Amino acid sequence: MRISTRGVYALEAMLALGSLGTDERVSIRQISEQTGLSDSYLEQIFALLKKAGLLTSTRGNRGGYFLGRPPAQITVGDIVRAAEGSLSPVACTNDDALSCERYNNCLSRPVWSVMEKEISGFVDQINLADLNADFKAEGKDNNPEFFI
Amino acid sequence: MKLSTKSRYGLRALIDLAIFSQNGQVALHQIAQRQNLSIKYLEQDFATLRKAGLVRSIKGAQGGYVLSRPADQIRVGDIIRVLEGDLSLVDLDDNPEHQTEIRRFLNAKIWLPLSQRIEEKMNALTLADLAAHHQNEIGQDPMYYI
Repeated sequence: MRISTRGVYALEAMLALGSLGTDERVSIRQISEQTGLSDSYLEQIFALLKKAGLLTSTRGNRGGYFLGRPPAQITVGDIVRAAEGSLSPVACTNDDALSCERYNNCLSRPVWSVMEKEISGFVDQINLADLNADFKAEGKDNNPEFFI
Repeated sequence: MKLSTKSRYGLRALIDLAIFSQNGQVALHQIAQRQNLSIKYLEQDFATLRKAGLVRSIKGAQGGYVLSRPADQIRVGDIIRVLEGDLSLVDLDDNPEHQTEIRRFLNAKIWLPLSQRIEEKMNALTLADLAAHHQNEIGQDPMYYI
């Protein structure tokens, strides 16, 4: 059971984008510098995030990426789901009953429903604005110059 | 994110065993038939489960498997850990050279707490809970369900 690196990196990239400032267009290069992820991998992830409306981009020499909506309206769940396709541990917890002929008398489905609720409950209650604020606060805590 | 068929099918087979082994061992082909799973697949899963001490095999013409301890002492978390390898939600890259500030922050803030919550939930569920859940749902004694 895994959230793949795609979901993990998508969240890293969105946090990097937020920490670089929300007013400006941010280039792939700036994000790759902060996350250590390759430009080409970031482009793949950004295509998924754009498709989900979480990112927008403009072309041209002042072009770049910016958030598709205010960070308070983007949850961790939105980001990871956009990158992963789904956050359900098995197909039958978010699909309809037709996904499996055993749907109505499956012995193990209760377990996967519990797991899915637990994951969604966690990631859907944290939004990108809060995450950005926490990340900035933590950076200050770790920065010795702040105490001088 | 998807769980492997190993833990999906293995857990289902074990719940079946918990329901039907109350009067003695159950042959794998019966579980295979009831759960519509391949016997070859079940043999592999049960070899893993036996090595991990979750089931016991009984040899002979009437042979089969039983749970190695009462169903209320077998946690779903243990089963998934055995079949899936572990219960962690993400592969945390702990190579210090790959650690960025962002990665450290997200590991501590999101991925570790989330993995812990799932682990706690899965450890709180036992095979007995799932067997009982099923029997409530079908509202029947398991012996008449065959």
